[in-house]
Amino acid sequence: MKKIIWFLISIAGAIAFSFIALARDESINAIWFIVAAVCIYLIAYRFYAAWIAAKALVIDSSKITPSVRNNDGKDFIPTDKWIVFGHHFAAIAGPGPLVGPTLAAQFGYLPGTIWILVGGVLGGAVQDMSVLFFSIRKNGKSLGQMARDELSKLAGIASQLGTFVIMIILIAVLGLVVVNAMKHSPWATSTVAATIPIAILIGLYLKNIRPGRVLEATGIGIFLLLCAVYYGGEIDQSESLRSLFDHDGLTLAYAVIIYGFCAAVLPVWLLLAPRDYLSTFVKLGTVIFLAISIVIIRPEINMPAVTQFVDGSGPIFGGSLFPFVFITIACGAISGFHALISSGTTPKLITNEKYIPMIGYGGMLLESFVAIMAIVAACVLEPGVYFAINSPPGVVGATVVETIETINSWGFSVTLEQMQQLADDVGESTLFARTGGAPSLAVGMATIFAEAFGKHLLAMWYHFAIMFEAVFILTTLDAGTRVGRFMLQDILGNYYKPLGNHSSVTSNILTSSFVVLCWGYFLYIGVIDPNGGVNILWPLFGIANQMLAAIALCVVTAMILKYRNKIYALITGIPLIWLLVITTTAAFEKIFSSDVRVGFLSAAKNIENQITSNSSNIDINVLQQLSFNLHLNVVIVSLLVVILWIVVFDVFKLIFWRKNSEKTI
Amino acid sequence: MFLSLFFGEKIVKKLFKNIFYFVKELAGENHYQRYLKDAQNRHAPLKLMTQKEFYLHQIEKKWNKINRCC
Repeated sequence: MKKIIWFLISIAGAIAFSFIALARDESINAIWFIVAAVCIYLIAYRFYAAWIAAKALVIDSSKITPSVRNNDGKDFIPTDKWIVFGHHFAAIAGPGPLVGPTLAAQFGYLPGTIWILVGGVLGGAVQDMSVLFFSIRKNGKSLGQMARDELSKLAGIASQLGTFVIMIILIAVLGLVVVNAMKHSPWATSTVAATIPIAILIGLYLKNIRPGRVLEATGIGIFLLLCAVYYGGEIDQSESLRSLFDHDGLTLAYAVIIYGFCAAVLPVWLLLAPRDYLSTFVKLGTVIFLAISIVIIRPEINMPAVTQFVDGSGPIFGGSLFPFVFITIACGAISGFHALISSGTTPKLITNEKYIPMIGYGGMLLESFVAIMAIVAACVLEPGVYFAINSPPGVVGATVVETIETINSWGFSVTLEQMQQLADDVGESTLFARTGGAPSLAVGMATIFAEAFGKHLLAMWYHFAIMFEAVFILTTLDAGTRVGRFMLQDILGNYYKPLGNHSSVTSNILTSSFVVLCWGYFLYIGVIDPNGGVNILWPLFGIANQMLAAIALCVVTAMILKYRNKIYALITGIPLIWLLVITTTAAFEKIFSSDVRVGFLSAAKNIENQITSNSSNIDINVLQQLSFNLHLNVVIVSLLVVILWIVVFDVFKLIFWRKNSEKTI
Repeated sequence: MFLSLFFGEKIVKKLFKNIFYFVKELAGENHYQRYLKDAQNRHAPLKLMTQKEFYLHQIEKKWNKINRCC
């Protein structure tokens, strides 16, 4: 009977996937994406994950886990498997799987969908599960500690440095996404701004009125957030109030930078922790809501399977399908950052090794599913509308008429009236050049929600979706800045002890300022860049994140080589080789490509020519800053590649120069 | 109500009870009671944390490491 059920699941998955892969010049229903994804995940989990767990990792349910062995009620706490799953998923699922697929939809729906599904089941989920397994066998050690112990001291430093660089670029790019969503949108800005006093209010309630009553406080907070979305519309209608929240990108970027600094130095109970409670429950609720809505309305996908932009001429970000689709969609397919969670809190909570596949592999599959929903939400939009929202003026033209003409010349129909009507419907003054992915995702989500639950509420749904994205982007920004501060304090503490003291106010302010300055710089440059900072920052983030994934795969591949049958190293070795190819190719192209929208050096040269010939209408100071930034990006990308290959060299040493070990874990 | 037509009242009640337990655990609402019980079983020192101290201690510990991802 079981065999028949699995056979039927396989058939359903194959049929749904064929519909997605083979449809050309005809619209396709989104339900096929859901069916294909669910069937592929079920089969991968039931067979591939189970096989890896049994044969390669040799999971042993009789072994005592660190949470049981070291149970101290503080760090090591034996916890129910579903609760661990919930914590693990809440930790790994950030804005990445929503933004990345939305941007990658410029290549069409097919490349992104295939990468999310294949990368997820063969790469990301394998990485998360194997890192979790080895961390458990190594008594809850972190990725950095395992890299140092199993490879070399240099590999340990490389992974820590890589983590810090990713943190900085991640915060900058997420800050840019929020800034672009709020730019000249009083409704969105007032709603996002309202999340700060609401979080503080919840923080005070949880500390002083009802300590620890998280659910009732979160309930109050969510009610207030919904009120903020509603009254944001009223603010937008009021002439006097709307000017308070109507700002350009640079002003908003400064506001986000000041906010980030405050959030990092304020006590966690006041802002960070209550914001996270709100963000976790809003995130879980909205993702479930989106899945239900897609199943109910079964929207048609309007984006073609593959667009002409696979050649690298895409307006949202420059670069060809290979390798940039694999860089753009990081978190929904494979994300190095997950390895930090899989070797952080999660291994200290699991009570039995038999739950590793469910939490490590299953958690990543769920994140991959979120990415599938994001690509569906982006692709239900008319392609012309999608490109009008996401294309920066530097690419499609400074005026809306030029934008419409350019997009029509690509073969995607969109009219000025259509865009104005859509902007009116969602309560915005314009939707042109709202780059960063968040506005177009919000339009896609709002369209789906409105179709399922009330068309007249489109503006409310749009701003709800913006609030939903902003609330957990800002949580990542708060938490990232704070962790960046701790990392910096730990590094500096080695040289000057007082700076390593986490409780020292001076050290906190100094290190927080440095971290905020680092990401604030990239955010500033992203905002002043006429080509839209996303074009530079998102690929930079993707390269950094995939590089960390490659380091994590190096560590687990080395551990399989050392402690298990060497043939099984292929399970992590093949995704590792793929990541090496894509990160190194992407890095090479980002540095040396002659296309000024791709290569940093050629773009810098182009800017320098504009400065010397005085042929640009952009301020010369801005041009000089952009040129400096492009050279800085060359240094960062080169550093990331060198770090990665140092670690890879350690793995080669293990393969070719190491004698068989008797050691086992 | 709607679900109980298909799955039976007992199963639906159990499902909602489990979902509520899951959400409560995710929010950490049961942790303080567990701490008190655990301290009792361990015959821990007499000075126990109040619920407020425990809450502040928990969130401080939670946010001193990488806890949210991209």
